[in-house]
Amino acid sequence: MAYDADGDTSDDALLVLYARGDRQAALALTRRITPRILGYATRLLGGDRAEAEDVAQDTMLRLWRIAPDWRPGETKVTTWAYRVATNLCIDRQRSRRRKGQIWLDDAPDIADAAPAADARLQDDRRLSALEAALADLPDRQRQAVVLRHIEGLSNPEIAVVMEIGVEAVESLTARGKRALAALLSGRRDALGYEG
Amino acid sequence: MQDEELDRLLARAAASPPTPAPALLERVLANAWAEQDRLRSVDRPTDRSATRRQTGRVPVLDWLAGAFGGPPMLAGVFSAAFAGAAIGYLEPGMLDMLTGGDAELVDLFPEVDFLTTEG
Repeated sequence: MAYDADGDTSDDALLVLYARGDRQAALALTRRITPRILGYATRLLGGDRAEAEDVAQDTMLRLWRIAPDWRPGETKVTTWAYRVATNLCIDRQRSRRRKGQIWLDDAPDIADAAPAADARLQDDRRLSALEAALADLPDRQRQAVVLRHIEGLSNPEIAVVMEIGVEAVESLTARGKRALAALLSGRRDALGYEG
Repeated sequence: MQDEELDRLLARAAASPPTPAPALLERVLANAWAEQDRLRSVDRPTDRSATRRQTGRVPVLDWLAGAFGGPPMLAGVFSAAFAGAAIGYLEPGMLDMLTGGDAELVDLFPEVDFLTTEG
């Protein structure tokens, strides 16, 4: 039986089917969850796509291994996956700091202060600036902001992912947004914002 | 930057997730299927539990073990039963050899005749 990546079968149900040997369930889960974890890890790791792919693959491997013991309804599959990915990213960040390495910064040099004439180009530059600003945030603020405003998790879900209380999530998210706004304010003109 | 501008930018980022490379999806799926194959080989029926799965019938020993609280308990009951039977049927001298001790025959009812005498 084929399951669509965006179909009606829940992640929980797919994982149970996977544990029973359903190959199509494996395909559906791969298509549903891998992109989300990849996007999240890419932003946490400062745009390092290769590292983010390793994290995504490792997270999914752990999901396959835990499948036989999965208890439906206890927690969402995606919440579990975000939590694993967060811890894997934290490990990599610590390892890099110990080695004195820095993350790749994909933000373009905004040497040209003239506003982009092409709307799509302007959109790309704004998104790149956002990614660069996210990379400049403290780790915990970045995690909270990305999970809340880009990945779309609720505060209680973020609390489970980050293993903190809901109030702490709200505080981190608010501080993270203020820091983002401050970082991007210096580039408003270059990014074509008026006023 | 205004709050509304930042919110629109974050929403734009949410709507533009990075697309996984096909090679990554292939690796993830290959791991998934390999893990399923591994689980299937571990779960392959080779023991009495397979009988239960395949026929619905519970083997006698499994039923007894369940009744006594598990295989270790059942083994203990069998051992105790064997020891009791051995003590009951063996001569004291043989019991000495088995236990390494001194077994004495004690007549608890020296005048047991009164129980067996008729009339």
